[in-house]
Amino acid sequence: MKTNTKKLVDYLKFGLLLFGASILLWNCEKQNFEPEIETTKSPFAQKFVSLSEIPKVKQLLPKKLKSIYQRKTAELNDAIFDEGTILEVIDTLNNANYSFSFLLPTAPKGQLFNLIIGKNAYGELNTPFVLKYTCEEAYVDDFIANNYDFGHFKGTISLHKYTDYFEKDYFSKTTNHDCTEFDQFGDPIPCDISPIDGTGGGGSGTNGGGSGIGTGSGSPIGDSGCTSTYSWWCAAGGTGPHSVESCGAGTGGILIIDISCAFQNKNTTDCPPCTTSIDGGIGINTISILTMRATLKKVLNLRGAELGWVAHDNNVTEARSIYAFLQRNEIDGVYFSEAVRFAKAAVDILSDPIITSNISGYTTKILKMTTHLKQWGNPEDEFFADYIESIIPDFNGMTVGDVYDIYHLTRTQVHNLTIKYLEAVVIPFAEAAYPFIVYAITDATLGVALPLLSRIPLSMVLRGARLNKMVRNVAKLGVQGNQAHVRIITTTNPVQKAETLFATLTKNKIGNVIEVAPNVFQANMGNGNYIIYRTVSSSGFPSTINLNFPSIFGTTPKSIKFIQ
Amino acid sequence: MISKNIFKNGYINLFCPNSNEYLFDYIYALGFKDIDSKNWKPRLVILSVLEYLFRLKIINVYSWPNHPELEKKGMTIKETIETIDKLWSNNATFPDFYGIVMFENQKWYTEALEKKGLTQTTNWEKFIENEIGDLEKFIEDNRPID
Repeated sequence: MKTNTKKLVDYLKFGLLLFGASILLWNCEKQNFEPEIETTKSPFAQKFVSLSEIPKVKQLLPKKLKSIYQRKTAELNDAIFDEGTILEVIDTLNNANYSFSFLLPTAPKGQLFNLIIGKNAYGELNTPFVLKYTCEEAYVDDFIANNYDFGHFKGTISLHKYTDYFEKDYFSKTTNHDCTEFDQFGDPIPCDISPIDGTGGGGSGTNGGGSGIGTGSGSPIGDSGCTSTYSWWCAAGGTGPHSVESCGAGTGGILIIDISCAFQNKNTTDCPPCTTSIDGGIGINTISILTMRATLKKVLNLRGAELGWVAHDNNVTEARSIYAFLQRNEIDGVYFSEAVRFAKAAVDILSDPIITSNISGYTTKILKMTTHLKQWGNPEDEFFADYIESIIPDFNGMTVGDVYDIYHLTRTQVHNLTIKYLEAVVIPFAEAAYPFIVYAITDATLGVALPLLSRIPLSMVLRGARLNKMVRNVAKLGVQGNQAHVRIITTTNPVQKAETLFATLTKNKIGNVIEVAPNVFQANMGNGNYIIYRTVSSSGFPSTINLNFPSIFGTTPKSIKFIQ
Repeated sequence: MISKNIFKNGYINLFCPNSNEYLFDYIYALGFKDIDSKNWKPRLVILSVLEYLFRLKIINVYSWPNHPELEKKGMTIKETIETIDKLWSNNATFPDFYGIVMFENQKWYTEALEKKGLTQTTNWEKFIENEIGDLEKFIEDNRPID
C-alpha cells in the first residue's frame, strides 16, 4: 500500500513535470528558437559544489570509495573521484541529486561514470546508483573535442546499482554481499540500458522542455526487465553549461529518469534494488577537459611545449590519466609532492616529440627514457630499461634506420608504461619487451635481431612465472598455420633468428642443451617443460621451435615454424 | 573399423598435411593426454592408425633420425610398424620421440589438397568442412592406384 502511494506520488510529480514541460515547449516554439533560453524558467537549479559543502552526503561517502573491481580482478583499479566538482541539481520541490564524476582507469576513453546520490525534501538520502555513459566509437573524438558536450554524444546510458562498482558496505551497515552479475565481457550487467543521441541525429524521446537536448529517451536495449524514460532539460538559469545542439554553448543538460523494473537481478534481500526512486533531475557531470587542463597547468606549473601538449585534443586520454593520478594523490585539494613530481615527469616524457636524428641523437633520447623508467617505474620497468640500455653498445654496427626503429619502439613502450604506471597497472617485462621480440623476429635485419634477442636478460627468462609469460608471448608470434598449435613466421635469416631465440629462451635451462636426434636440440626447462629447436623438417621449414609446456598449452606443444 | 573412427570422430587433424611429423603428434591428435609409453593400449591404437594411414598412402617414413641405417632398408608396412614398435621404448619420454621416426606426407596427397586451395596458413578444419566435405572419399578418389 505504501509502495502504491509512493508510486502515485511519483507519477503525479512526473505528470506535473510533463505539464510544465509542455508549457515550456510551447513557449519555446512561440519564440521560434530565439536566443531567449535563459529566460525560460527551469524547474531546476544546478551548480557545482565540493564535497565539504554537502556534509550529509560526505558522511555517507568515504574519503576514497573503493571500487569492487579491485576484488573482482586485480588488473582493474579503484574508481577515481573528482570531489571538488560535484554537480548539484535541485528542483522546485527541493529534491536534490548529486552527481559525482568518477573515472575507472581501464575504461575506454568514450566511457564516463556518475555516482548519483539523491536527497529528498526532508533531507533523507536515497540509495545511490551509477549512470554509465558509453559513447559510440564514431562519436568519441567529436565528443571529447567538444569538452564532453552531450550535444556531441551518441551512445547509451546504463543505470547500475551502486554495488556494481562499489563495496556495499560503503553505503550500508548490513553485511557485505556480492550483488553484482557480470556479462560475458566481465562488465557489470546494468538494470537498464537505453540509447541516447544528443547529436540531434535521431531518436524520439521525451524532451523535458523546449530547450532539451535533441533526444531524450529510447527503448531499453535488451531484456533488462526494466522500463525507463530519459528526458532532458537544459540547465537554464543554473551555473552549469548548456547543450550546443539546442541549449547554447556548453555541456550537458539535466536528465529526468523514470524507471521501473519487474525483477531484481540478484538477491533481493541484501542487495539494492534496480527499482530506484529517482526524484528530481540529475545533472551529467563530466570531468571537464578545461578543468583538467587548468588543473594540470596550475598544479604542474606547465609552460611552453608541455602546456601545448596538455592542451592538444590528441592527448586528452593521457591528460585524463595524469589528472586522475593527481586526484588519487591528494587530500583536501593538496597534492602529494612526489605525485606532482611524477606527473610532471610523465608530461615531460609524453610530450617529448618524436625526432629525426642521427644515432647519437636517438641514443640520447633513449637514455632519457630509460632514466625516466628507472626513476619512476616499478622493478619490471627497470628490467626493461636495463634491457634497452644493453642494446645501445650494438648501435655502432647498425644503420641509422635500425636505431630509429629501436628508438621508436622504445618511445612507444615507455609511453605505454608511463600511462600504465599512472593507472597503477604493472606491465610484466615480457609484455614490455614483446614488441622488440616481434620486431627482431619479423622485420629486423640479422644485425639488429641478434642483439635484440640475445640481450634479453637471464632474469627475464627465469624458469617459472617469468619464462611462462615469455613463452606465452612467443607462442603468439607469426600467423596461425593449418592447426591452432602451429605458428608460421616468415622472415629473413630464419635459422639464425630461431637459433638465437632458442638460446635466449633457454638461458635458465636445467643442465645442457642435448641433441636428442640429428639437428634436434632439446632444453629441459623443468616441471615437464621442454623447448626444442630443430633444423630438420619433413615439411620444408628451415627451422622450428617446439614449446612443450603442458601447464600452459595443454597436451599439444606449440610449434613455431620459421620460413623465409 | 579404424577408418570409421578416425574419419568421423573428430580426429581430422590426423590427416592435416605437414603438421604431424613425429609420433607424439599422432599421440596428441588421437586425443591421448599424456605420453605413456608403458601403456599398451594407446600404443596399439597409435600403431594401428599409423598402419591404416600407410595403407591409405597418405604418409611415408621420412627418416629414422637415430637409426639412419634403416633408411636403406626397404620395408613393408608391416615391417615399418614393427620397427616403430621396437624403437619405441617403454621408457620413452617426450624428447625421445624426436629420435625414433619422422613422417612425411605423400606428395600426391599434399598436391591434391593444394589444388583445392590449401596453403600453409589455411585453417584445416574449416578447409575440410568447406572445400573437401567427405575426406575419406576425397582420398579414395585421388590416391594413386597400385
